[in-house]
Amino acid sequence: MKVKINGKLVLVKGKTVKDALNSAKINSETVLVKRKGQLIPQDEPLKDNDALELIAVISGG
Amino acid sequence: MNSQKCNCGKPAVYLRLNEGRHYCGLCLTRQIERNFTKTIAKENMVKKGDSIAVGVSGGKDSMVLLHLMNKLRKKVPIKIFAITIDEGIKGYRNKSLAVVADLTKEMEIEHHVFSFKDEIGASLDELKESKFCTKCGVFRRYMLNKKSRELGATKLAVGHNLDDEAQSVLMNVMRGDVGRIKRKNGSNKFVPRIKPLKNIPEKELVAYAIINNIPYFEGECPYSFDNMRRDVQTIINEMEAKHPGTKNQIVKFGQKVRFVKEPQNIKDCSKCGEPSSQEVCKACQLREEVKKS
Repeated sequence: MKVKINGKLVLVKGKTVKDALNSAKINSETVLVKRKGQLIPQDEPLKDNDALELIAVISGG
Repeated sequence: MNSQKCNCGKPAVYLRLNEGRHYCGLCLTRQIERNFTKTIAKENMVKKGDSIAVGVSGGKDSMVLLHLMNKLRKKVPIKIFAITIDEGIKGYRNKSLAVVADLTKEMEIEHHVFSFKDEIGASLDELKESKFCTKCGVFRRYMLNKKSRELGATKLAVGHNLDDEAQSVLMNVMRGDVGRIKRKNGSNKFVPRIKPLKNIPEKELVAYAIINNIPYFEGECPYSFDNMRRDVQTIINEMEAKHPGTKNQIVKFGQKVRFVKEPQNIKDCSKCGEPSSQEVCKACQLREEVKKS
């Protein structure tokens, strides 16, 4: 399955948000994920060509 | 439409892994607000008539804290005001200060800003040396306490979350510093510090801010690249992703250690009179270094 993460195409091994993050080597603890402007949980199933937007959890000093 | 559902039947926006439970925006909001009030009640953090200085940097933790304290003051007769320390980091602190100014104005809350430049004679940008994070942390804590006391605060509320607490415990373990985990206050110049968000994970605070449209500054401090806390944060987040509940367990460990042996006392610094765990406080030691440089 292919999804876009922040506009970048990622080949996903698996079906969920967490699988997509793992495929992109992103720790799921460090981001929240939106799809179509809505927050989605990390076990949410994805569809081919879904576009995900990441929100960084870590900010500040 | 999200396919995972909250217990209430609405689409889920968040999965709390250590509980294996999904939350919709409204249930997560209620849960976080309950956590906030429960933490305050359990430790008697707030009393009627308190004048509470809220340390606000403009990041998500302190902006959520200000939002929740503002809600609290509508239920409990307390006064709150915001206090920001401007370290003088161009392109970072000036931007976050603007976010704080907007929200405090909207909430009709007093906002006091104090700068490193005025207090120690130099901004962080002007300190052309290493140990930025140590100096910044020491001077920030020093000034937050001193200025809160001068403004008549009975409490100082800070936005430390569960992740911060877990990081502090692990950093003290890595430094072999049991005393820091166990110290208690013995100075009357120390404004009691309260941490109403200390049981809420950082990730849930970001979710709360997004769900409730709380503005915050997303920037990252340009000096935070070389800091031990950042390394510890990475380690803990890797463990939490593999073993949900790790952060809670680290914090529990810290709480247990606190009651094992005699704690280290905080007294008044022999130079400036501010609270310190040493004869001469770290701020005075660093101030000398700054003067020499």
